[in-house]
Amino acid sequence: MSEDVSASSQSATVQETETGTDRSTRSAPSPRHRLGTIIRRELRTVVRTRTFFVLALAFAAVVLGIVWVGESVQAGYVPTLVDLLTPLELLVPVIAIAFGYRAILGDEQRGELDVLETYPVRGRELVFGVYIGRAVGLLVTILVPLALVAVAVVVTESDALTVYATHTGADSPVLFGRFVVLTALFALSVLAVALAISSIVSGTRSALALAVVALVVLLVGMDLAIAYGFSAGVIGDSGLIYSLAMSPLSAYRGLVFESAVVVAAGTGPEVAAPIASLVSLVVWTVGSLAVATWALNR
Amino acid sequence: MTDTSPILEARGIDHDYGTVSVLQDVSVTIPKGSVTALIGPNGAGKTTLIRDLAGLHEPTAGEITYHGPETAREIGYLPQHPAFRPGFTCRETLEFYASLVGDDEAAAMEHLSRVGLEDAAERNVEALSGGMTRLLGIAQATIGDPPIIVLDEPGSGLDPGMSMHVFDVASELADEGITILLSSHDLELVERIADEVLVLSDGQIVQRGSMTELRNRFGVDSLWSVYENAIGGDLDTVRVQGEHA
Amino acid sequence: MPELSTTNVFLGIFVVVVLGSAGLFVVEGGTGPPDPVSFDDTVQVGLTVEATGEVGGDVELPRAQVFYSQYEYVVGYYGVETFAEDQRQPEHEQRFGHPLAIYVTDYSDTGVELTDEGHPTTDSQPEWTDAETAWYVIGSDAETPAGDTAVPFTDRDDADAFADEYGGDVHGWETVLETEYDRDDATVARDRVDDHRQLADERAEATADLAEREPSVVVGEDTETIQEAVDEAPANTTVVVPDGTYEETVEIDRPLTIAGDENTTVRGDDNSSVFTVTAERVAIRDVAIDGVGDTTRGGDGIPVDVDDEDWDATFTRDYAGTDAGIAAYTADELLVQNVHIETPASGILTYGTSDAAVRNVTVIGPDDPTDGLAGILTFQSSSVIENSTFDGTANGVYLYRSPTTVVRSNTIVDNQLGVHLMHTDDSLLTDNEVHGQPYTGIYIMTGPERNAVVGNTIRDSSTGLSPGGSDTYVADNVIEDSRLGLRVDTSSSIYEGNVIAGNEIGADVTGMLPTNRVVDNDFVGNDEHATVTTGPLRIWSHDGAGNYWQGGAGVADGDHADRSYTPTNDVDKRLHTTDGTPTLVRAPALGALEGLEGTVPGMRTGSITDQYPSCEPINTDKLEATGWDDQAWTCYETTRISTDD
Repeated sequence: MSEDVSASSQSATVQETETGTDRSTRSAPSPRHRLGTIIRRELRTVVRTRTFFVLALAFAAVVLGIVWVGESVQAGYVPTLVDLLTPLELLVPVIAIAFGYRAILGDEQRGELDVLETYPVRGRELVFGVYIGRAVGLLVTILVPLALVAVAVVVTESDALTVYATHTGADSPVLFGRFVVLTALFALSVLAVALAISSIVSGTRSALALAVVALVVLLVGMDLAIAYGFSAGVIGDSGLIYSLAMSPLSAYRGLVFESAVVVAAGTGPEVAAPIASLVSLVVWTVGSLAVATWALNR
Repeated sequence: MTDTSPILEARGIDHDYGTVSVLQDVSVTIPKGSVTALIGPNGAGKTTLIRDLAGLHEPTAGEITYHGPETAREIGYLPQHPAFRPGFTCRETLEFYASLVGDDEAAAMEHLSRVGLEDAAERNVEALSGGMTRLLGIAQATIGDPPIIVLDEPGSGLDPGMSMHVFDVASELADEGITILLSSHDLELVERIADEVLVLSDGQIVQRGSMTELRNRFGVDSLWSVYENAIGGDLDTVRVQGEHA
Repeated sequence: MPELSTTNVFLGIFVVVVLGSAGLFVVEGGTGPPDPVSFDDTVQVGLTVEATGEVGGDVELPRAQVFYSQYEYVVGYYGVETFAEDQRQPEHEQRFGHPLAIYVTDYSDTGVELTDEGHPTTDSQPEWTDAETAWYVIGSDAETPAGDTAVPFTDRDDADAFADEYGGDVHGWETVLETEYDRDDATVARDRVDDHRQLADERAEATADLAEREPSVVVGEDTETIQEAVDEAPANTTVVVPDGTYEETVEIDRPLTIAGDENTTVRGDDNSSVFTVTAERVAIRDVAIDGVGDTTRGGDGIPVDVDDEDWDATFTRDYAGTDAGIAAYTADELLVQNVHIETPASGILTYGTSDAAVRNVTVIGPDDPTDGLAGILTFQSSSVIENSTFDGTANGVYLYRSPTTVVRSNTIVDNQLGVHLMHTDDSLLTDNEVHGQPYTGIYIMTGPERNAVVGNTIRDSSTGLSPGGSDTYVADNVIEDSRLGLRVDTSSSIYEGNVIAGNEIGADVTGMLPTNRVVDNDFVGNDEHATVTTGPLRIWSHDGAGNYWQGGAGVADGDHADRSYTPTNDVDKRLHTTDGTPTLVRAPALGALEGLEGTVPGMRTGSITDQYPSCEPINTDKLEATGWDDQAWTCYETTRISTDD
């Protein structure tokens, strides 16, 4: 075999001298081009990894199962999104972290991060590119079942008595659309956290451990801490709505209530501080990506 | 064609991991277009020095200066255990790297052919043998036509024929004017292609020079004998300085 | 370069998606305000069927229609003030959401005038106009059958002109919403029950002396027939009828008492009513009556004028002519006491008779109850009917347009319908034993107001209790052993303290509006505790208290279970019948589903939720009487206190 290889390498050498190697200075491609390269690679990885496909199927099965059993698709958009809210609050972080926690770690373990250091790629381009690539996969995973749910709402009609005039009330696909957008933002913010985890740790086991810790903190810890602080008086009445915004789960939940549910239900105490919640999600996202970049560059 | 002006210089390199000092006051000058080999016992600090010179991490003290032309990719690197993201073919992997320096798919194929892997272009990287993976790694190291290519133990774990082939490839690259820096335990192959040899022991360069100079210095006729003489103390013992990089 | 343009395409798509997403938050959720619909198509609130029937043809009552954000049907209100009151109720917004659009009848340019009763009549059909921009004349002479009403105009000048002519002031929408109108609530309903009991006592007292008038004529001694005695006896005296059977029909047109003995039987001619009473303050006691004619409808010659213009003229003519043991027409303060009637048609008929008392009477109907008409049929009368037995007629007690009637402590068995109320408001049905009706035990229909069904025992019927109308008070009843125990067809009504046990279906909700309060009832031993035919989510708990559901008392959290109970949910409804369900029901997956189920209740499909199901039965004495109490298991206590002491 080595003979074959050396034979072809000799012919390669012949080719090489014919074309000549031009080692004149060449400039690095534009950052946009480099970003595109990283993104394409991540996209391909997501598509080709069977785990993500299985994860997406499982998520879709759970979401569709919930709306089917709950019968809220017959009732309209708002009852459906209300029924989906809590399950998604728990599932989306799990899915997002699954998508991201080994994203950069894999390259690091393989030594490809070292190799990439010799290329004109900046740390932040790598982080951002990986993020975008994974984000696309994550968004497809989350949005397709939600789109199917919306279709189910359209298609399923509850039996209204035709004797009486009916109207859809405040139910509207616009509200469901808002819910979908907010779920996407929520997923993206947790993905960023997962990416940060991936950049900080050095081994798969510690990545898994840190991912579990992050999940517990996100799903349970932050809201518990806020609840405790509120009941202990540390967080005052007027401050609660802003403290809530700090937890990405509560920020998401508050935004959904504020922009989709309250429209139907009416008034009462303010359910959320929408600007603060939105800012919080953005901060979690950008901050985590910044942490990932810093971890990469050190 | 060797031009003796240095393309890479390292001055006074110290590298500590915590309290352990792996390199002490190492200075190296890599002439342009040469093949420089770094040899020494396990734990001497070869990989640490290689990685410092490749710019993969910062030394604790000292300076490393690159004097070569300004280009997209200045130093190419082949790690000791090259590994590639699974699920991609050889061609796709190289296309990815090529795209990072602005090259297209044709250039990627060229680099593949250069190391003799064009028949394996459509094979997934996880299906490659150890030797082919190593060749792919070399192909990757040449992407972007960097003036310097650093190879960390390119022959380790390969059968004799494949080792020789790998070193031949390195030699051919050198013939084209690319500066090669490699580390190796394979002294015979090093002997064949190296212009300059650095012997690293206990974090310090104990011997340096061309093959001829070294052989004359010790009055021996093989690199192995040079090695024997240059490394003081028990050849059977492994010197542990600290963590290997 | 191809790469660049692909990137551009993606960037372009990305920008579009981001802008579109942002746009979702800017755009108003939903389409523009809906157009008004025909009032007949709305779910109507505010007037009884009777009242709407009463007003004349060209009367156009002020109305409103409201599109709620959470309720899929359009709600029609008779009277803007009805809506104003309703939306002030504490749970109103939770159930219906907020109003998306409100339309009111617009009297501008309709030539509106008021009738003598104050009802508005118009030359042309009023249009609908947006409520918030209209002007309202409040405090004028305008009235609906329910009381004072506000009159809306789009044109301020028209409003002013109306106010000049008929009084009142012109106000805007905000004021309309704030103005106080009279409204009932729970305590008012309970107080009303006491008032009605008292009223019944008063009626009984007022007629008590009628039983003890001075005897003047003795049949058989002074005269041969009862009729002769009646003709001869002076007013306000007693005609004594000794033991024996008297074959005759008697007409009484003066205030007299007919007193039988131990064994007096008056036998009619099988062709008409036996006693016909047309004077007030008549008493008939201690007689047995049979030989009643079998005409149940369309009798000839009723001694009353029926106005053909009346909306219920046909019904009146049909039924007011039924043959009865005692048929009384405008016979105020009638007393019927200790009378036994066997009849193929009706036992007692009162027409236009107020303050009557029927006590200790037994009416036995024909062999096939569907042949007869009623044990007692009161037509536009008011009375107290107590301590009597009605057995085997088509309608045991039939109240037609007879407000303030009290039916208490009777035994009503084996009739097609035990107690039947049509167009009857303000009545009290209490402490009756209603058993064995093949159709319905107590049936209140045609949407009346302010009736009360309290403390009855209803069992063994196809449907036990079907109260209809609004402001109905259903309390302290025991409903058991029926196919359907309780049909909830009311709005704005209260159900409390009832025991619903051993039925195939405990309760079925058919009313369109989710405005009833159903709290502190016990549901035990029913195959299905509760079902809903249509409509949104009903919340059957209030102020932290709910009902007791057998199967719903899971793990304790204070006085109530820690989980809400949804009798319409496939798993919850089997908690008391199927092994394994208490475990399944706590699965986190299901818990996540139900966590927010009380949210937007108006938009959910037919279901019932009790958010604070009681840990133990609430009406223990009544439940014990049914024998189901040992099946009424209580919550698992979460803190075990040593029971050694």
